[in-house]
Amino acid sequence: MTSPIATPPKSDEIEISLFGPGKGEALVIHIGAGKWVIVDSCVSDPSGSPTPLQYLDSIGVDIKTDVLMIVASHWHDDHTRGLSTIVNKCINATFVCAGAMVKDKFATLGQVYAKSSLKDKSGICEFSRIHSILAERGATVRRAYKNRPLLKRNSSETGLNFNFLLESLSPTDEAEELCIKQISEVISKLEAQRCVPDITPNILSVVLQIVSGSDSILLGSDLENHTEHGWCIVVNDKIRSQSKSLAYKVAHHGSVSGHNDQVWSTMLEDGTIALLAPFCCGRHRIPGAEDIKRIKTLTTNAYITTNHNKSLRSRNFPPDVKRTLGDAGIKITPTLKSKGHIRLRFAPNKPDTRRVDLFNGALKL
Amino acid sequence: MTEIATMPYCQDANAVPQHMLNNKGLRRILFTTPHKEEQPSNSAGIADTTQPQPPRISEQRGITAAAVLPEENWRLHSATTQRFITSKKWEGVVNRIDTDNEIFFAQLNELNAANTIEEDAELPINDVAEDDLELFKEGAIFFFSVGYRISEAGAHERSSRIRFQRLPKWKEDDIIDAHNKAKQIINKIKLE
Repeated sequence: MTSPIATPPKSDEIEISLFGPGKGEALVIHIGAGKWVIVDSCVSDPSGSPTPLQYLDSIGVDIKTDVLMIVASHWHDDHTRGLSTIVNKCINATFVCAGAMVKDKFATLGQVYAKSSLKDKSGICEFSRIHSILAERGATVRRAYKNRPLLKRNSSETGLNFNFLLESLSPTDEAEELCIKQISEVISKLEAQRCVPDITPNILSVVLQIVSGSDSILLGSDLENHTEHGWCIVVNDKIRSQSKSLAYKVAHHGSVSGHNDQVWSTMLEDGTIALLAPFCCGRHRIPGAEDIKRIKTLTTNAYITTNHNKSLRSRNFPPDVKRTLGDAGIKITPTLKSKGHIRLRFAPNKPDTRRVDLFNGALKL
Repeated sequence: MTEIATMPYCQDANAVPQHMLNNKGLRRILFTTPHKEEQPSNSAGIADTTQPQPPRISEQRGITAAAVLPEENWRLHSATTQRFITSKKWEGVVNRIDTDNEIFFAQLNELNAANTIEEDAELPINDVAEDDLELFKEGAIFFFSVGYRISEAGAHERSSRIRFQRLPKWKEDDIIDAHNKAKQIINKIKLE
């Protein structure tokens, strides 16, 4: 008997699957008629295999032909791990990212750091591998920016009773210019650098809106508030579809810096289905207690991919190592690697078909 | 597997800078166990927070709001005699520096382990050696070892140490090469 998690969606169903192992997130989206889009990548398995590919394989999707698009929302490590493997294997998918990520200045950083031991740890180096794959293929990259339709599928093409549109709502040209300027400054100081610098990537995050029939979904990526380039641009955008979304991939792991009241009041339905993937690094955990409280006042339908507050036991070190760590006040715990999975499925234009399923430790907030 | 570091500290690739040596040519080595900073106390033995506090070593070392070891907890060791036997060694990346709680968060991968084990660690900022401070920042790579220090007399002392990776300085030519290579790659990608 096929387990519920291994059941593919019906041809006329939209599926939004969010994976969040504890540090990282990825979205796998069924856009109808057996075709898929992958947004970002994470790894939850010791094999290092990207979680989106494992899932699609488990439900029998032919990734070579049926993944139409791969979107890299930004270059942070927790959104890009395994992404080059996905790009390599999904040979017919169009790659989408912010334009700044395919500028030679950004690629220069990747080339420099690719020689260091950061090569397996940094999103910049993951992007460097993606650049090489795309260059070898002579591929075309679709730039994501404010109000750009990225993928359109009409009902006449699919035979379904709804049109599908995937649109990017960010970043703005100004955010890209700012990012390139910062990268140029970093390069000019590279001689002195010993680690990958912080380049305000979160204003470059690609926010996505899905419109299928009369239903829409907002995917907030890691966009944060910024006086000029953050959520205010998206909220006040009059060109985007003004329909309220039935579901929201909460921005920036539910942190307060990614929260914007106007998003909830003007862009989302009452009782919207909120999907969250946490970010854990030792005791630093997002969403925190205040974040959870805030989200629960905004919707009663909030879900998280894993219980990120559970304490993890350190592995069994030899007694002398254990004592030394204890004496020095050093805590070492396994990195949270949940296979937590939130799956939303619905048939567009039919509200009573909306269904959320939780797998592998995902839970309601 | 136990790794024996036979190289004395002063012959390490991370050579001890002159300013770290005292007038006897000995290196000051930080005790690895964190200690509470002593506060001046009144006659009842209660910490008196009204008295002016001496400048914290962390402030002198440029770490904002980090707690420090009092000077008496620094030890003098002969730079030529000390050995370190490594029981376990990890490579780490600094993920976040929390000066309020005097710790930093890092992601670790154990070296020489049969399987890749990713772990999260919380380490005291005080364990960062003074000559590593310029390298101590989010994103930096370091090596963390747990083992034993062995004195000249052969005494074993359980200990841990953190050493930040020193990469060769990039030269202008390296960056020009990287830029040229990046340009070649990007030029093969079409944009729409």
